[in-house]
Amino acid sequence: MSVLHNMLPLLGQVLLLAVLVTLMLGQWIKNIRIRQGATALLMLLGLLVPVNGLSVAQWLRSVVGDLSVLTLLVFLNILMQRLFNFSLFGASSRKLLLVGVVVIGVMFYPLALGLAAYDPYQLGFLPVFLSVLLISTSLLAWFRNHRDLAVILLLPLVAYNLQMLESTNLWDYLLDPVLLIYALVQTIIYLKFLRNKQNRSAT
Amino acid sequence: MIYAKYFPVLKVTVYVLLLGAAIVPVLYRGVSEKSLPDFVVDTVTALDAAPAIMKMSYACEDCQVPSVHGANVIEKLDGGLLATWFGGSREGGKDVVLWGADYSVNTQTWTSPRRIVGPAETQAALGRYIKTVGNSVLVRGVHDELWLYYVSVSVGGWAGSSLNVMRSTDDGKSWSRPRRLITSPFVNISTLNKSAAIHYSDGSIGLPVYHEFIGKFAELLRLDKAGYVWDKTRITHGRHSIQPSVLPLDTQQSIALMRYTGPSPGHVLISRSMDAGQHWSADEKLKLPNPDSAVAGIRRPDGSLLLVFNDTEFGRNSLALAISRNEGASWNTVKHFEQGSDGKGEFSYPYLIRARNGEMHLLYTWNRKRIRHASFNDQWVDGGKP
Repeated sequence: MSVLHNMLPLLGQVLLLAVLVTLMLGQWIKNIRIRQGATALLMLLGLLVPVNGLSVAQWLRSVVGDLSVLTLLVFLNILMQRLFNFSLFGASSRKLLLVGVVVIGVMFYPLALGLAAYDPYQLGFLPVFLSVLLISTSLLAWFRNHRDLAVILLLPLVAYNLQMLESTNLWDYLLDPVLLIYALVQTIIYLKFLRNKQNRSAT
Repeated sequence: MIYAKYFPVLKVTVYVLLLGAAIVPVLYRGVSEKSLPDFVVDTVTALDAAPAIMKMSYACEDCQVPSVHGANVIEKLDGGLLATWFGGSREGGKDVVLWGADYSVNTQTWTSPRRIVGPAETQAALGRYIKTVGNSVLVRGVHDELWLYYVSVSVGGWAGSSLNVMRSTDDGKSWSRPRRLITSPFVNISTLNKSAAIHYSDGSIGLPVYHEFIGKFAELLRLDKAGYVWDKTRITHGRHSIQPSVLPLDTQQSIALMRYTGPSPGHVLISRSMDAGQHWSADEKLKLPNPDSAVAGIRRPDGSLLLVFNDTEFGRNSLALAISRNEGASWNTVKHFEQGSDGKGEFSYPYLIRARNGEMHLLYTWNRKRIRHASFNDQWVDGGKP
């Protein structure tokens, strides 16, 4: 059980490492083949080579904690785009997902950290209500033709049902601070882009 | 052509399969979810004619390390005691490990401290950097196994704590590898334990815990028979209440007594639940002072409540016993275990249990150098001379 519980979290850390490496390498290495090879090599080193008794992925895990299934999908999408020019989900679905993460995350974390008597994190244990909400949102996305988003919303729930992470709380399959920070940065960049576009069209 | 024709069908099929994998367990959970079970209330009674008993000793007099703290104790199956605490060069140091010792009822002595678990074993089992370990709580499971819940820190101070658990099937002689509990959505920090667990009628455990990162508040973790977190209830919120000691009054009612971490002067805090710990009232200050230090309580079979606390506004040089006969509404201080007259000394972190023979055992930190053990019975509490 603990081996299974360690596999997905370590994969998450390796993906985080790979995303960081890919973003950096993109500045210097223009040849896509070399970039793919370098990323694969650094991923392997990060997973296998011990530094002071722990691999880089394990050190990273000690600091940032386990990443959610949604984060893994978002990071996998970044890697696929950057290294293979292939998207797992469309731009509009990605935008909707990240905005959703920001809206939920900025309300969720202050409450979960004790701002009020209500603790939304509790909803993630025996999560009948949260599951129904996710399934309903997924069905809505499917019938609104965001089919990729509909699938993405179900994957954390399926992973939770299979208990693929250490956590017994569904929130930990959906959200983590790394994803919230990433979503916040992306949303701010997008809002700036929109504002610049508006300014250009006004002049 | 065939691919283009069947791809939409394939997509729908995959989605329907995923929906099934998502929905079926939800339906199962919805059907099987039961209402919250009752509290198990202690019914152990003392012998009426027993003479008053009050004995003071040390769970560790020569603790082998310069600094010890955070002791807890549980009754073993043979009627003896098992205690664990953390100790090393200093609180939070990298050399701090959990120590344990056994108390024999026949010889009335403690064994020499032995190492239970430390950062190295925890790190190896969890695959994460572990800087230090801290508070621990021993819990008896439904199959008479022992669970040891303990705090570890990877980054930062106690606010960066996480909970881990080990299991023993030989009453604490040997332990399984540690496993991490996920209790908080923010990098799984900061959950700490301090006080004794409570038991539910379905065999699940209620573990009082607290949070120290940004907010300082009390919670009750619900753990299933396999030691996994099943539910969590917030007892308080805000920035001023930690280390809840939860005392079930009957099968549904309970109180939580807490350490106050707000501005001075401090008072022991109390919160009440009328539905087996599902909901809690806003915390109130008792008249008992609290110098930002831990408290420990138990309910006696006659319904009276005992509380061990530092009865000072500042400092921890006095450790007292108070009794309440009206379910925690008012308290009278009846005894002192320590009463430093010079304002010096630290007698803190009490942990109180009631054994099957009705005798009570109190462990606390003695000047951070030793773990003190006081054993007494109802007759002594009620005024009898030993």
